[in-house]
Amino acid sequence: MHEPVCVTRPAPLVVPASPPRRCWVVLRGHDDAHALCDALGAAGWQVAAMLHSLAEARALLAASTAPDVVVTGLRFADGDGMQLMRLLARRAPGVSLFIASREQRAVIKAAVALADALHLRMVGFEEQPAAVETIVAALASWRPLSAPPRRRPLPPLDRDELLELLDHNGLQPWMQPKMRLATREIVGFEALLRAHDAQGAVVFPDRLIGGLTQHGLLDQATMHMARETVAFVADCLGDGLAISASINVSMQSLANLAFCDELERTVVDAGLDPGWITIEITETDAMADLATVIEHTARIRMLGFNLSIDDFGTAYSSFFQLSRIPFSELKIERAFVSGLPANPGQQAIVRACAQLGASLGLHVIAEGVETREELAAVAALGCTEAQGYLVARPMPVAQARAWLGALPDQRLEL
Amino acid sequence: MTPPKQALVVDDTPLNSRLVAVLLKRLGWSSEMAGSGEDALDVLRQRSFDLVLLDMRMPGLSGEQACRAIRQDLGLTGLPVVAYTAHSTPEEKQRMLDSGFSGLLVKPISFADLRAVCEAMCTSPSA
Repeated sequence: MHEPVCVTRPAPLVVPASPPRRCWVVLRGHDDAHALCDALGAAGWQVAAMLHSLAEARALLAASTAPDVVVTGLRFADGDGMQLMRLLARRAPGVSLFIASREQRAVIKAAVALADALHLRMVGFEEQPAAVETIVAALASWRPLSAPPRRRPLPPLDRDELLELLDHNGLQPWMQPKMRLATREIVGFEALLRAHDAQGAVVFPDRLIGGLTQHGLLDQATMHMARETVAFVADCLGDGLAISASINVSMQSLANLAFCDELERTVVDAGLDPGWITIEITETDAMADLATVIEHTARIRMLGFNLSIDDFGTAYSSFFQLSRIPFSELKIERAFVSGLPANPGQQAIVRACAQLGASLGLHVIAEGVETREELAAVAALGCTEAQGYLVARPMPVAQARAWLGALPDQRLEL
Repeated sequence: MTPPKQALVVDDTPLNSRLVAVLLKRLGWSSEMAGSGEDALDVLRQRSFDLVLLDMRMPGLSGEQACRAIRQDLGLTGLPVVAYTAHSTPEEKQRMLDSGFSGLLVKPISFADLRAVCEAMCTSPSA
């Protein structure tokens, strides 16, 4: 989530170039509203409306063109800023938002989060609506978005295309490394599903998984990924590189005994100890019927595989469920890692996850680590491993093998 | 020049044994392989080692049974025997240490894990 900056220091006023940028000011307090409108007008803004209630905003939105920016409070006599944001998201989705409110910081941050969830563009927030110079300075940095190139999302692959991929080994694992934070060693990879379409473009899981599931091909695709991944790990181990790998498996596949048997046979045939392979299931899958999940995950652990809960924090798993399912690893969802150093709330969540994992004896992996600051933060908060673009992007097997082989003692200096 | 330290690697998976042998060599150790707990006991009757790495998951004698036999039947109470084990809860790890193992290596291992265990075993009073 993008966290807007809370401006605390006034900057010189900047007169914007034409055409004038239009804004509305929606503040309950008349004095605050007047002072702000005057300052914005002096700074070159066309203040198209000064409003004091939700009803006025609703009426104006119905009757006129939406402005570029709405500066809004969070409390009105007839409603609140959250209602206004919902209204804007419906009627004027391109509008930018600046929140000026004396509400508690937690409330303002929740409102910012709501704006993000509603895909409204945030300019910033200010806890003192009377600090007009600060607000004007923050708005001076606002620029209209250049129109994004209109890209039509590529369609999911159809059944014939998927069968073609399966028949010709067109599905590939792309390997994204995991780094142990204490030693900076690359200790494993996650195998991520990729393919190439007829035009040679890389196909990502969003175009594959739905169709594979719908056409009953997911087990077959997962098993192909497992075979390729097992071969990769066996190759690394044979060359003296201590590397594990994880594959994503649906609960539907785990429920299929024939699938589990074939998974076991795959590692046995490769001469591989299953302890080098981790089965990742999503938190949403782990939330299915507890007895069913325990049965299938226990079987996987009995076979000697490790078991990971992926995207932890995105669903609603209970501690009870987490304690009953035999996980060996917990992966913290990237949304909690992105922007972590500047967000005490996220830090508290990551620390709690890491402590929970440690007390249950689990490896705790921070996903989506993209900056050195995030890496330092997840290490300080108790995560044991990190995965993300900072370590490396997913790469085809041969490239991953070469990348790993070039590291001294498998250590990555960042 | 002091001779290299010697480890006995007991594992029924050749890939594991080969990997551990390569990693031990990088640490300056030499190693010998045994494919089962029974084989390990035979080898230990004939010669001595500085360290035994024992897979917990083997057909025939389990790691725990093999460790007990090393301690009780062979009387090698001071020999460092390290369990090479799948992921375990903190309680399981403690139980293994209480049952006679000198240390634990949890799968999947890394070079740093192995080095730490080797260094710990060589500097511990029992080594």
